[in-house]
Amino acid sequence: MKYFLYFCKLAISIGSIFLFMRNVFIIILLSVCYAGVGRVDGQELPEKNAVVSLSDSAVEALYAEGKGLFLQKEYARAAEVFSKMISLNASLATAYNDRGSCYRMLGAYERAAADYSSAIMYRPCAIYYCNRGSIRVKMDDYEGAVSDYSLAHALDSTYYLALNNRGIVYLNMGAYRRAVEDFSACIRLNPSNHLLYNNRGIAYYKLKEFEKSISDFDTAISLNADYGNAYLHRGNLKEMLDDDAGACEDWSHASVLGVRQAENCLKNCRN
Amino acid sequence: MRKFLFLLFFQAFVCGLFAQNVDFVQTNFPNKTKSEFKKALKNKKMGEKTMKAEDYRRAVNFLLRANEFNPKNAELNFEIANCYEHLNQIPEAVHYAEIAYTLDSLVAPELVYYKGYAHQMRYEYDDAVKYYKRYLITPGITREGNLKAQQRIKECRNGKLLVRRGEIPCKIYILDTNVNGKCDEYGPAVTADDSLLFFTTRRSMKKNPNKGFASDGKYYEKIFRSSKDSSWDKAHWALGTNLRGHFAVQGVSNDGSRVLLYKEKRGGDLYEAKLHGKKFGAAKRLPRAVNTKFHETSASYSYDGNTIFYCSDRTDMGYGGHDIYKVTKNDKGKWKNVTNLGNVLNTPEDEVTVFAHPDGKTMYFSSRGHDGIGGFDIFVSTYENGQWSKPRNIGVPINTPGDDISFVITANGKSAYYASAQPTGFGEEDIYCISFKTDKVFVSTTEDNLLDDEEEDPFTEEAEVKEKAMPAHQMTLLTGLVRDKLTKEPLSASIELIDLDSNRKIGDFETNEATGKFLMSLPAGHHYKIKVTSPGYHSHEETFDIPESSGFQTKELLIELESDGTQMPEGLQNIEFDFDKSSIQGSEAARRLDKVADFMKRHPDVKVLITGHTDSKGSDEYNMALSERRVKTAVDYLVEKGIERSRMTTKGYGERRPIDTNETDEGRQHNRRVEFTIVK
Repeated sequence: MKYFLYFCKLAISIGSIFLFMRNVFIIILLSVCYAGVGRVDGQELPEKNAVVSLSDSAVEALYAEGKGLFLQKEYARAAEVFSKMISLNASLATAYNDRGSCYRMLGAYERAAADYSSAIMYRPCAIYYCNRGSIRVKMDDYEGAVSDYSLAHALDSTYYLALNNRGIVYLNMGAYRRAVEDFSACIRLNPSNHLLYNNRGIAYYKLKEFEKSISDFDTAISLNADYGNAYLHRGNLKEMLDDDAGACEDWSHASVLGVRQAENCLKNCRN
Repeated sequence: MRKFLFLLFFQAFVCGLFAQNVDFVQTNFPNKTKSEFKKALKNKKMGEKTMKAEDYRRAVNFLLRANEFNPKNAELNFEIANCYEHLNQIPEAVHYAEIAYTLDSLVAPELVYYKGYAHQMRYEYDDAVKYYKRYLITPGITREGNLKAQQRIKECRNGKLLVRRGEIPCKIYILDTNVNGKCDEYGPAVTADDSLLFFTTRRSMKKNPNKGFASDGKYYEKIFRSSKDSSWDKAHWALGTNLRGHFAVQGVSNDGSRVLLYKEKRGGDLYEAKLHGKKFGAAKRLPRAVNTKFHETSASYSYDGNTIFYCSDRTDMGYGGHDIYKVTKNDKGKWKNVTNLGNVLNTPEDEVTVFAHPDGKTMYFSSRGHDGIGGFDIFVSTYENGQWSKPRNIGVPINTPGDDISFVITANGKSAYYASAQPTGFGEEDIYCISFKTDKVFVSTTEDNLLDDEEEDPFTEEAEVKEKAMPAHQMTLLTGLVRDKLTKEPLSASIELIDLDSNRKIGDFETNEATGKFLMSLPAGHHYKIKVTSPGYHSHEETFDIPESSGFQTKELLIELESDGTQMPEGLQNIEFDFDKSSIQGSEAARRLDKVADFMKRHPDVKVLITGHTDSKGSDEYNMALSERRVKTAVDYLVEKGIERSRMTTKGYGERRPIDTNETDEGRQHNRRVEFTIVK
């Protein structure tokens, strides 16, 4: 028995060395990716500088047209324009990303995800990973989304959108402490964004840290007094704390600001 | 390359920084004396020895003492975790295992499993699964360990699904020290109207039928109750001051007039006690059809009181472990006909702590065999079209990765009670209340740069996190008071409940002897009739139509029964006198005599025998004369009120017919009386 235990310990030691080596390998791989050269989705990446350029005037014109159509919410026509760009330059990451966004707005999530993957393949950058993460959320692939947002953050630690979106995925997964960490990091990067305080307030609510939660909703309201969702949430929190009058007041305020979810809550006040 | 080398150096530094295992070698403790070191080492060895003997309670005490001396020994921390796991104190087990893992993750392969469990307890399911999978590929893992890890992975998957389904909006709080104490409190049972709470406690009491301690080193189980007006009042003995050994409450009828008890006898049996007025009678063991040589526990009455749902690990009818059974009353009112509730509810694993909701169709129970998120979880099933629905996990945050048992919920579904051992409690297990809130929605905002342009304002999209309230129970809670129409005194009455749709008697209920109150639950979707009867009174009938769509509602009834003239109405059977007095001027006796006169006028055919009585103070002759004077006073008063003297016959008994003791003031007061009896 004693020798068996020694054997186990030895096996575990070897296993941990293997795991350590694997980690080292991953770190090397990430370092290489960060440098912009490596393998993504099984394909060899072309050189970064060769694919980013929009130097071709025809392509540039198409890009301006596609972007204009997108902003006018003409998503199907915009997608056609971005397709033309791709036909002129098949490795143009921007065109894939923007066409993916058109598909996303049209509800074609599979095609959007494929286009975002192509964009990442030709130019791995935080925006593309972030966009693919959002699509993965819509496709209920939360783990995939977390992975994309994490890579986006690894590529650009100042890109707060990735952290905010990952926080929201954690919120949906029930990993509230991690959500708080992500929102807090976002707030450090962008301390005047009321949406981030609102999001962190929800995570604190879920953790039953009600004082912190109400403080965040208060801050969100002080940063933007017209942001109805913060009133809705503060109302939810007050009801939980048995302050029914305060809850009804906040829900009422949210309703006036056009938050439709507050209407249902107000029914409880009328009862 | 520089970056890579830096990372390598960093990892090595981090590993070195956290590898802080301190072995039990005296040179590692330069600031401690030799005797202190020896004592700690002795504690460790004693702990290990008692652990081998499977006395985990003692073992953990030794090991914790050793841990105070050296908290940085991985092996010791792991041993403490191991003891706590055997004692089913999972949060503590995970805590010490995590410390051990940090000190030296290789000290035992099980630490990887515990690390996964720690993540699971924090609802970090993805991380938990990673560690469980790592544990599964550990060389030399036992079959038991393999199954345990596989089960945990399944629980994590269920947990993720439940979190996505949305939490139940609720507030959980511990009941105050009126209910909870330093010792264990568990097994809450609540009446349908949330007014009376029964629970089992292991606290010490001065007036205790059990001397010393039970085999687990704690005080014996006893049953307490607390009643609620706006908050729960100071709990006191509910019953059982004369009960020896363990007695634990398992269930209570909707109106609180009957309780189901558990006694650790013959493998564990169920008992029943009935309330008479304000006191419970003796606990009677349920018949052998229910109580086998196996473990019968956790029971709940059906809404009509004609069925008891309970759990047993009997092997002749079960699907494995503890299963849920039901026993019904036969035509003679005896508990017969035991049935296993079938394999939709019961699994090869344990099903325990069953609770039948007063709506007549919903059942809550705990199980380890259905899709849970860890340990026992609470499930709900409804009985419709002659069968039980597939049990549904009631979700988070009610269910946790630990054991969730003993869940009882009030008729309106707004409050539920359960017991839990939390470090923040008053001590050991405490009773908690869940206050359910309304549906909630939280709107978070995601932001994306949809176009490849960070200069543009981000595109925002709202994501909703929903909290869905517990489903409302469709039923009517009927509460009422039955009293005498003339005297307004509460009556002891029988209430027959009939389903008019099927013309079937649902059950017989009784009012409380002392208060005249009753409570019954009426499931929605039926047309009901109640018939109230009491000896000496005309019966009373009332019908109710409770449509399926009525949701939860409460209905209060005041039923005043009119005497049929065969018995003196409640409250008019006698009047009392002060010591050595026969006068009644301005007293309570005079007010009663007014009502006796009123009653006799309403029933002109009634003739009354009026008898006088005294207490035992004074001589027989004096008391005989005093009793006759009391009778005369009563008769004269009634004549003055217009009652013909010929309708009354009289007799003085002196002190010969006491109805109470003559040893106390209160008893003697009861004996100084004049009684009225109707004669044919």
